[in-house]
Amino acid sequence: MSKAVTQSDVFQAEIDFLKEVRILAEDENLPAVKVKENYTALCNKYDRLIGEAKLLTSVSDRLHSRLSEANEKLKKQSDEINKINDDLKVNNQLLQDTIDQLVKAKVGRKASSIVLLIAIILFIISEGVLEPLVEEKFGNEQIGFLFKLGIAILLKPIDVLVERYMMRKALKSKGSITKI
Amino acid sequence: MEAYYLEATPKTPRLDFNPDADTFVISGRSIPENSIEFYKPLLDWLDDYVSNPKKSIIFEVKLEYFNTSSSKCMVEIFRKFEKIHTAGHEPMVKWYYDEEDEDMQESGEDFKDIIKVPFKMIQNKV
Repeated sequence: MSKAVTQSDVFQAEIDFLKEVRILAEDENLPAVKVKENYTALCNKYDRLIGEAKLLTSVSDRLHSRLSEANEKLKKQSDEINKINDDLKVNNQLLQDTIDQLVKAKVGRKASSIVLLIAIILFIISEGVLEPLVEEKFGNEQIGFLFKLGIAILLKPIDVLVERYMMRKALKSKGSITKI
Repeated sequence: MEAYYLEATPKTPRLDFNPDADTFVISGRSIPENSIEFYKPLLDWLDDYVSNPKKSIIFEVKLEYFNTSSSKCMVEIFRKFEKIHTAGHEPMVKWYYDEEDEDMQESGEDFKDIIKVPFKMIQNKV
């Protein structure tokens, strides 16, 4: 409503003039000279108004094209930002994969060291304690060999278990860092 | 008669109309919320000025950007200068525009076509 009032205010002078002329047009006793005078004034005003209408139209068109250009520019920039964002996401994922692989390799190395240590301890226990005991009780060297074979077969599952445990631990600590 | 002066804001132009000076200036951006409300006091001031103007007065327009309703108000301001011109005085409009601003140049030419006052287009040197 207030907008409509504002728009009509822009042409208030023209509206007032039109009202004036309409009142005169309804006056049947108006002398011919006066009619001609008003008709000329009306033509002049109309001529001016055409000029102004042309001007306003061209100003408005220019503004519209300027806005349209700005809009197009914004859209292009937005597309570029989205593309950069997508590239960043891909790079981020690649980086994350590399980090995960590095963590896995590090954990694998640690697990292998621990398993090696366990193997050495088991070997010492088997050579120093178990083998003399088995030989004394069963008098058979093959049982001792089977024992060692069992330990050797168990090494891989132990390696897997240790690696899994350490990986879980590493992921947990990474999760807490991400949260921070 | 007192001078009419308004400082520029991001949405309204600087208006410097001093009756003792040889030059009136309007500069900046003209995109007020309500152009009629903004320009009404200036138009009233010009109505007073028209009755007793200087023999020769220059009106410098240095606008960067204006909306459609402001352009109608500019027409009204120029009409006041037409009255001064018709009364036998020597007003002149100087329309400044930047070299790369084709829109302002074309707008100036559009005003020049409909205003019956000496009108000079001046390109700003960058």
